[in-house]
Order: sequence, then C-alpha cells, then structure tokens
Amino acid sequence: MRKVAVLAREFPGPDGTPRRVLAHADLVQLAREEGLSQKTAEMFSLRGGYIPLRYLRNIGTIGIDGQDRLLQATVGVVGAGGLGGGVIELLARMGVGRLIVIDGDSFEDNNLNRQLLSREDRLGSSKAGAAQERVAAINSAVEVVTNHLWLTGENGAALLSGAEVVVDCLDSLPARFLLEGICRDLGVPMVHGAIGGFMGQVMTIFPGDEGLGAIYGPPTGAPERGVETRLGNPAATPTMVAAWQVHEVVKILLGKGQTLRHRLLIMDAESGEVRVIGTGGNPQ
Amino acid sequence: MKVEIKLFATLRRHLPDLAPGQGGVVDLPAAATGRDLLTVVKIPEEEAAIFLVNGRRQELSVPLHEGDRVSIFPPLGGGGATA
Repeated sequence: MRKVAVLAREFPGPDGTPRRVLAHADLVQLAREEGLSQKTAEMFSLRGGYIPLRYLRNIGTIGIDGQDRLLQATVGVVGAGGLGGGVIELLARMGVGRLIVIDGDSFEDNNLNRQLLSREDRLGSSKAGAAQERVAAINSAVEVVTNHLWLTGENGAALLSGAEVVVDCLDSLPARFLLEGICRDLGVPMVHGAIGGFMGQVMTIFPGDEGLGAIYGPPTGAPERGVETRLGNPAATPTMVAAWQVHEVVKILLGKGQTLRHRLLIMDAESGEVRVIGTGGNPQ
Repeated sequence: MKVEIKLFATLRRHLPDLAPGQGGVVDLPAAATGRDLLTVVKIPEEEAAIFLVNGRRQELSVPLHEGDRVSIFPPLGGGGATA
C-alpha cells in the first residue's frame, strides 16, 4: 500500500474536486514489481481509496466500491457478433473483471457493416478470438475466457459456470430459448437483446420469470427469426441495444437503479419512439 | 367504432400511406376484438408479437373500444450469433 501511496497523485474529477488516482502506467509497474495481475493491482488500489485513472469517469456513477465489485465480477456473453461486439467492448471499458465469451462463428464480409469486432484483416477468423484480442488491447485487467464453439444444451451449463449475469447476444429464437433455460438452471439473470432494421429491444430475465415467452409466445410456437430477415441490421442498431444491455448488467451486479425486469424496452429509431411495456410480474 | 392504430417496422406495409410513427384510424364493428382488427388490416397473427391497447399489452381476444389506441410490433430476432 505504501507503494500505491507513492505512485498516487491528485487529479481533478469531472467536477474539479481533486481525487487520488493512479495512472495506468504506474499500475502496470506496481503489478510487475509486486508480482500481481493487473486486475489485482487495480483492486488493491481501489481498496486503498486510490482510483485507477482509467476508471475516473465511472466513479461518479458507480463509486469506488462499485468499481471494485465490477472487477471481481464474471459475466457471460453468448454471441460475439453485432450485439456481442458492442457488449464486450463496453464491459471491458467498464472494468468487468472476467468475461466468458461463447461464439463458434468466424467473420464474414457481411459482418463488416455492424460488428465492432470485425475487420477486413480478420475475415475468416474466429469471433471469440477477436474478442480476446480486442479486450486485451482495451483493458489488460479484464480476463477473457474464449470458447470458439456453439452453445448447446449439453455444454452450456459448464461453459457459463461462474457467470453472475449472462448477456443474450444471439440471433435466433431457438438459441435464445436454449440460453434462457441454461440461465434458469444456473440460477442467474439473463439480459435479453434483439434487433431488426431500425428497431431493438431489451429485457432482463431472472430465473422463474415468464421471460422470452412473454415476447415471443411459447418456444414451440415461436418463429425462428424475426423482422431482421427482411430488414437486415444496419450499422447503428446493434450498438443501440448493446449499450442498454451493458447498463442492465452493471445495475444487476451493483444492485443499482431499476432493471428492465418484467419490462420490455422497445426502441424504434425509424418512428423516433421508445416504449417500455410491462410483461406481467412485478417490475423491479 | 373507430380505433387508432400504429404499426412498426415491417408491419408498416399494411398501412403504407402512413409515415413512420403516424397513427391511422380503422373503422371496426362494435365489440370487434384485437383479432378482428388484425384481419381488417391483413396482419398475420404471428407477425403481431407485441399487441398494445392504450399502452398496455392485451390479448387478441379482448374487445376493443371506440377511441382505443393500438400499437403493434413485429418479432425481433437479430443479434449476431447462432447457437
């Protein structure tokens, strides 16, 4: 802790009030000298009341304790495409300490319009691998467990074991129902997101909630896909929904605010309308 | 009776003269239900994922009333990855 105090300096917060902070380079040095992981060095710093400067703009909203909690958290992200690329990027920047990423797919040309992890030089390569590379470049405190394979009823519980929240970044309804069942069995909340055209939707589902059935009807009668087959997914739509999904994850992990439990948020950029629709049950 | 109806995304093709977000008025027989309304505007039931009456979800079997505001949203399934 003495070393932390030596390396710390004062830096003005967003309101001008001086805060005791540690620069990224100093935390890298501290971690190396003390034989700590980057994540542990950051948590050590936070517990001494020193803010890693990289999180300064998070602190006013989630507090030092909240940042510490996020660094300790594990979040599952199923799908590293349009929604997943945005969700992974933002969770890493928030400082969520461990991400379990599951996606068996590789990048194709038609991903380039909207999938933040896709690049011209990555066509044909693994989406899960790209997630790991991107997170390492953004935030070395975040550990990524990558799974370049498809989620199934057989492997799901083992792959997502340890996740405190799971984010649904899938693109077919049967896959979403499968994930919902796995999350129910694991006893963890799932943050659902889906997109099509100018529209997107978000809902948080806890085990035992009516969940996806409230939107799509029972899994047996549900269509396989939605309007996206006709309207496609333009560049901004996945990010519009991914950002909301990440806010839901943060609220669940920190017990802050009101989640979208039993409430479906629908955003329609085409008409400029946003609705929050009750889906039964007691909103949290 | 007259009800106001707003259609979103792909459903807009059923009332093509309306601008995005603009409501249209549909004339229905008294005591017509949500299902009757779908028949009149030719929307298949499976395309009406979210059916709202005056901002609240409603079963299609429930009768509508003069002046009700109905919003209908299609199912969304996109996101990026298939399990």
